[in-house]
Amino acid sequence: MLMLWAPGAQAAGLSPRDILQRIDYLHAEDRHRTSYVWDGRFRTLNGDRYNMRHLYQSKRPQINAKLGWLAHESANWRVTVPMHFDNGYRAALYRARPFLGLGLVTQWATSQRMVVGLHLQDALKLGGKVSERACYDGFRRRFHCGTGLPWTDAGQYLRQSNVSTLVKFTLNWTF
Amino acid sequence: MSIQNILVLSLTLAIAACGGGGGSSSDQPRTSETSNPSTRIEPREVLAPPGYASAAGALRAFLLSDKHLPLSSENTDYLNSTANIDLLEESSALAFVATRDTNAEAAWDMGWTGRGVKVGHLDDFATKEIPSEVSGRNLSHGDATLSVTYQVSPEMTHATRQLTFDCDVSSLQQHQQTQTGYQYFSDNGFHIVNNSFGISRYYTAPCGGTPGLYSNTDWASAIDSTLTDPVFLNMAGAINDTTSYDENMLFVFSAGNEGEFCRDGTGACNLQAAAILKLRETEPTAGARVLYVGSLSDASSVSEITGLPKALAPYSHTAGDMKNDYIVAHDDIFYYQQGIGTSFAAPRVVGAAALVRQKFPTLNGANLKQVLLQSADDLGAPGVDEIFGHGQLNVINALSPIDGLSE
Repeated sequence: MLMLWAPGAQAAGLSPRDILQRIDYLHAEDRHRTSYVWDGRFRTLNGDRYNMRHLYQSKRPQINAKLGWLAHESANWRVTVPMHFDNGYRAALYRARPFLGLGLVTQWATSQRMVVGLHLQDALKLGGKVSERACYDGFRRRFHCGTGLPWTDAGQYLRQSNVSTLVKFTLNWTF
Repeated sequence: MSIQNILVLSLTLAIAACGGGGGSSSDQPRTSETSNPSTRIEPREVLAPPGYASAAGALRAFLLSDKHLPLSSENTDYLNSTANIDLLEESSALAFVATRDTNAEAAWDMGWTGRGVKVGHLDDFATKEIPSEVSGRNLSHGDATLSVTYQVSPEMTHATRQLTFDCDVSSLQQHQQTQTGYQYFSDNGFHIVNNSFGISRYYTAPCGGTPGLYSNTDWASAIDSTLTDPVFLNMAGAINDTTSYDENMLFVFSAGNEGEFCRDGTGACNLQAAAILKLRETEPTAGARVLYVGSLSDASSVSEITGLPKALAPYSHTAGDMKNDYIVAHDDIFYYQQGIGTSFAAPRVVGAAALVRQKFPTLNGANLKQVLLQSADDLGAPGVDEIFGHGQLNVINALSPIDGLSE
């Protein structure tokens, strides 16, 4: 994320130190967060237990990062651009595309003790689409290995991106 | 002996043995369903919505339809009202015995009701020969077999075609009825066909003649005649035969009820089965979508309590050389010990096949057959044997993955 933004920042005449100062927050973890991946464990109608975990294990490192870029800051007005990146997930039966979410957070200090804020997170969403594949039994019957359901029943349970746009008003009062 | 002669004799004879039950009612609760080793699991959140309510409603609607009244039980004169159907449904000792002995309700709970699957019944719907001991009115053999199928697969789409079992009907006419029926089912996308009739080597002679086994010569001649019959070949021929009926079709046959007189098994005592075996000498895939169903003894429900092994019904043809094409099921019609005969075991398998086909619509007839066979509960000698074939129908196993899962 930093590398993506650094050239533009430098073009705007920002030094590396300025760039660091512009980062309001940065949370990163080695885990896919933009969809819920099946654990591959289920019990079928006849009570047989299956563990198909290996078909849902990621084939590449997972990265999820959230960064707040301080776009403007003055005495009583602050604008932050929250950015959300996930590099997706790729397993044998499950694939989530990389995701980039952008938002906008503005905060006004109406007085020395009161700050009003409007938060739009992941307002603009790019990528993140989830696609799933069936597994097969010995008769090439298609099942969903996340639930054990026949594939024909699995449609309404197939995963989708769990990223939703967050709209939030805040009122901070210091006393 | 011409094939027509054999047809006219044997069809009528077989049906007399199959459907002649009617039999006595019993107040003894059937306990065989407790033997089903399947564990009924509670639907998880992801498994909603359950289909039980609509499945039961569909079955009720079917039972209330004009064609299937009156039904009788030991407690009600006519099951011609919703109240009586409810009574029947709620009584543990009475009807819907096929629903219970196949554990179909567990499948309904998961939404497996046969919806959208087209099931054909080629049977005698005109001859009301199964007595109703209370009402004094009779059901046809076709009414009874179709009702059994509905007890397992209540939301299927069905069609019936008449095959008259009557000594006054010519064998040629019967053959034409069979041909017309199969062709209709094939042309109209039917997936499963119930065939609760057959030609046994044991001649029971309801239309005259002396009972006994056909001679070796006559039987061999009958097999040879069958092998020239296009109706048989379209059904049981090699699976890549372009002239055959739709490859997605599965033909389920009752094994036959002369087991006490012809003890060499379905492969030797059932004409079409014998013809399939002979055809396989040159066409290994012959009969790939033909499945034979034998009857479990009612006594086996008692033996499960005592721990004794399950038994094949004494009248049922054993699997014999058709063991790889053979499965067994119970055979009561509406309640315990009402009617006996492999005629009513076959529609249980048809209903189960419809449940499987609903959720796995890409299965062709041959694969659907194998799913039912491979998922059966092994009975008797370990593995596939000459008595029980693959064993007892297990609906829940058939709806679950077989041979593991892979990418």
